[in-house]
Amino acid sequence: MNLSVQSYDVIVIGAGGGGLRSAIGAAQAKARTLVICRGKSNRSGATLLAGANISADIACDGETLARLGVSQGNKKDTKDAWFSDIIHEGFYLNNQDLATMYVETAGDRLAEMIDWGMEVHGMEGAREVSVFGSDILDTMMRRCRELNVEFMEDTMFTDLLMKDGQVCGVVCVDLYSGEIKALRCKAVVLATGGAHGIFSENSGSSDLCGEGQAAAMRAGAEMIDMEMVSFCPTVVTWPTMYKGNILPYILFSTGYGRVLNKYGKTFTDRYLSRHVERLALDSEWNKMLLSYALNAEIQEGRGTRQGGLYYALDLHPQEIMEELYADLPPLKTGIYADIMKIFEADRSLVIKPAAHYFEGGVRIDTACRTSIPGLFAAGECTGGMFGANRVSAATTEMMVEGAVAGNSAAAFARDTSLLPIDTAQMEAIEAELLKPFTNRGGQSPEQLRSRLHAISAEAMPVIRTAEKLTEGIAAVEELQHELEHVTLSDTARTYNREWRRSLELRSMLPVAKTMFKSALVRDESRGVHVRGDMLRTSNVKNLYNIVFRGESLEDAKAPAVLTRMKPEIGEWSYTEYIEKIVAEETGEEDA
Amino acid sequence: MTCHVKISRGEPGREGTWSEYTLTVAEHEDTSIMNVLERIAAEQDPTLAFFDHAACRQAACGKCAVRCNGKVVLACKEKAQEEMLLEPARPARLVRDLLCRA
Repeated sequence: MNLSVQSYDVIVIGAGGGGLRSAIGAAQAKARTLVICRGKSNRSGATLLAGANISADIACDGETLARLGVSQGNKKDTKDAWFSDIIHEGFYLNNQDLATMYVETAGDRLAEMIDWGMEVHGMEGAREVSVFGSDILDTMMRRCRELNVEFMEDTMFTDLLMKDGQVCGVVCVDLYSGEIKALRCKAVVLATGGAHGIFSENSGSSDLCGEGQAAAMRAGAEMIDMEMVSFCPTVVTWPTMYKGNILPYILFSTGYGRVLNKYGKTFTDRYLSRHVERLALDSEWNKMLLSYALNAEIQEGRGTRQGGLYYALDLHPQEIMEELYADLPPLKTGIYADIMKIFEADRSLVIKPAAHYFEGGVRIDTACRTSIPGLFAAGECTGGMFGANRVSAATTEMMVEGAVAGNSAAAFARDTSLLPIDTAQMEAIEAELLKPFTNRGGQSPEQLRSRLHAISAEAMPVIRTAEKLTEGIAAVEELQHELEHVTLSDTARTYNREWRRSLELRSMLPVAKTMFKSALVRDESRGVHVRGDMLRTSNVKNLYNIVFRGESLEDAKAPAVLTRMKPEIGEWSYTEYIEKIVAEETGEEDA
Repeated sequence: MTCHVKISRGEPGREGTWSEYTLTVAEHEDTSIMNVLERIAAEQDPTLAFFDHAACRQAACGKCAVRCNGKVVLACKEKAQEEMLLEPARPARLVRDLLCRA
């Protein structure tokens, strides 16, 4: 392994919006800052695909939007009202101190982005400012260049180097040359996004494999709410070339189209009361509620032969098509024009709920510190902000947490000196990373990856059961054992795709196992966590977060952080409690 | 439909070899060049190198360019054809097979 002669105050892992904003925060605080990213610095991570890069949004309260001159449409809104909505949407599992940080600093983050040149394209909702994901990244990238942030691209982060329980560097692989590198630093910010790669059906880019979460776990950091995974209900699964695209969700949320079962029938009324069905079809609660109803319909055996449901878009009379193109002009060009040709030919897309956003992740406090000295985290790889369901924008989360994490990491670096590297640890990591090259007789990374996808589809769909989760944990443990013998047919170090797949599995397997275990421990249904064998929500016994320390599956239940708002104590059926929460949020007397 | 694919292989200084593959793509199924490359790598030849380590697969990142039958296209956006000759999009920046430094 090559130990770089360069050393840094702060190393940021990931170059989506969370990573870039962390780097800006650290560099503004005068830290020498390096960003290590899987792909290209402003074209990797989840931010690029936010809103299918045609309708991303950044969230902010209406009062602040009016003050900033962005929109006068929601002037009477307050930060307190927004906070209350976020806690209701999270079913009271949110860390309320983190949610306070979110609503209090969202306006500052939006204002600086506008100041740095990001273009606003009007409003998408009362609190949603319309932007392009690519513009968020380009804007942050310009700011990073002004601040002389350094970048190391096409490089896969694998491990944290530790000295006496404190972070002292990182290990990564140059994917082009295959060279393993070690770099010294005083603080690390993890901003690696979600662990989408665990699921065959997901809405993320191919680089989201949970490397940050897994490295944090190996270092002994705490993980929180890992059972909470939001699915996007209507993600393309067929035709294959559009798999993972969320365009049907954007169309549906704008008001167009219908979801049909294999018989061409609508079905959401089978699973949702009339009131909740209305919310599923017409409100921002649609991600959670539709994912539940769609998954239930597929599990009932009324899915299509490709394993999904139809998203049908009737473009007759022609005026409907004209309205659609007026509402969403980007549909006329590029890949979206290709997809529209499918509807114009009277065909439909096959869609199904796909893993979309991970509410759970590395546990942080309001300084974005993890439980490991020198280790900070920001964005989707963290957990706790949104509790049991995220409705408000993840773009805002990444900016809010990035700004804090970067600043905290720089402050930590100022007060600490560069620690010596433990060469034995470095050599042990190198040996582990290179082991697949000398293994013989094991399965290929592609085989193990397919098996993981089959396991996650069984154990961790929207609707889970204790039985399937228990089987899933055992199956992942079996895969972990087989990964030790994973065998490559490609022996070159230069851009070895098989080797990279095996390193991805090294991260995805422990993260998957922790998710399944967490989902097993939470023996109730709450928010996006639906237990088919336990369709009840209990505020009597379940107002806690599930926290795991490191790779240990010894769970600890930490009382939910209810600093400002407390829920009614009681027990309800899953859908009754949704109705109750929605009624509280909208201020209705009774649903 | 049956796809016949001929792909340029090798690293700088050792280019000029070719691999040929045949695979069947289901009727009516829109399949991209990226899908074809992924299937070849999964089912026939795991040593094939093409850009996929941080790919959006939705024509947003713009990093998966290849030269298909002489024309530079995004592998994720372009539909597969029955006969394809695939070469690196930027040979001067070749890393391996179809992968070039972006």
